[in-house]
Amino acid sequence: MFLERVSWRASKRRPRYMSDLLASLAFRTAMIAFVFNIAIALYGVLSRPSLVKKFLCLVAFTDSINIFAVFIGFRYTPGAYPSPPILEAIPTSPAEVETLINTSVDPLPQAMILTAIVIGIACSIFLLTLILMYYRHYGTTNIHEAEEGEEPHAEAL
Amino acid sequence: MNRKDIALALSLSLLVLALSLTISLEGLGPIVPRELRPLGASFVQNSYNPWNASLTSLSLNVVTAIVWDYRGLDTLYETLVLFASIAATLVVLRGYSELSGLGIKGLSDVSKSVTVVIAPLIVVYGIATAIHGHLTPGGGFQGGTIAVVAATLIIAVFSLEYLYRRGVSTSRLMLLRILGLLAIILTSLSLASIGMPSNVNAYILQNMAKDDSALSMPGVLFDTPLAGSIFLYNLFEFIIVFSGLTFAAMMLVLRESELESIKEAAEVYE
Repeated sequence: MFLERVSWRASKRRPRYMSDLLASLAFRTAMIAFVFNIAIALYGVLSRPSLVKKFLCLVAFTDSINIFAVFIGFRYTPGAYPSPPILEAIPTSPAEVETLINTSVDPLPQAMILTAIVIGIACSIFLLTLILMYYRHYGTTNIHEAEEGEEPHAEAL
Repeated sequence: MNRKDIALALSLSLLVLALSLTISLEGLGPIVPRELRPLGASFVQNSYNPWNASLTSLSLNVVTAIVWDYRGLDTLYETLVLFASIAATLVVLRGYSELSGLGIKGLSDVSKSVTVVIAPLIVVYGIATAIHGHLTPGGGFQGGTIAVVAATLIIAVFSLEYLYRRGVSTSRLMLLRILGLLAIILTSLSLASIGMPSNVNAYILQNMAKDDSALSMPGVLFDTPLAGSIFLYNLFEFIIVFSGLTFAAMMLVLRESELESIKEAAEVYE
């Protein structure tokens, strides 16, 4: 039936036309740019001494991975724009559902990423509170300076 | 340049190289497929499909249908994670006190007048995004985060003091969050608790009628698809996210004199 028609391997054929080749090249470049972004953000998390910069890099890291995953759910429909996975007409006919299947992008990565974003925000809130308390305690967000074993600021909390 | 930096650079460039090669050779699947994957296609097919009554959720927005119907348990736990993280924030800052009368300064009169006009509009837009989540792009979480912008704007322009005077305190927001979470849990149990006394089959987190269960959430309001529990979940998720993130924003801008009692509270717990 229709699930057999939607074959995963059917799309694995090589691009034949010049425009397809260009599109394929462009998509590859975009994906590799996301990989570079992930690596740069990871570098920031691992090697910056300031906790605030670590936090910002962590947010950039999560967001790069999220965009990467949304991109995996994208779909190339030659000659037409891919549509968001939302039906438009309210008294719907089976033909319109069929049209949506033929033009819509994959909804599953988007739903997973919605979950990932919420959990990312939950972690960010807690991390921000911890960084704020760290600053109030040591008077700096630099982890190397606080390691020296100096007395915490007496007037700070 | 010590050994640690070199190791870091090498491992990161290896990561980039390996991932880029895998992607270029289509090791993670075809780059930009032309057809939907079978799982995604079945979600798109069944999300709004009255002709297949046992699998549909009557939601025009497929993403919302996945989030609150097909994978509803995931989203329930996600809401609990958000709840837990804000509870953890409260534990870190335990013993804070809310003091009013520290003085309102805020920004200039121009920005205050503009904020008075804009803030209600932002909240209304957030509510609209949330309760139309099954018809248009949006949903409870998106609407809630939009509405939190209004609260953050008020804190930045008017100061925290203004929120206290308007009766917005952290304990009230906490109460609102707990009520929202309770409402979500009750909604997920509602059909099961209706079916159990009368010996009718029903499931937890059930939305539309299934093959062996005739009970169903309301699918249509007049002539608009309501998507049953998805509408209710979006509404309650809006309440949870709005109150939770406003709570977090207020905790992050607490003044120093409100935090003085934290140290004593910590000593008591030790």
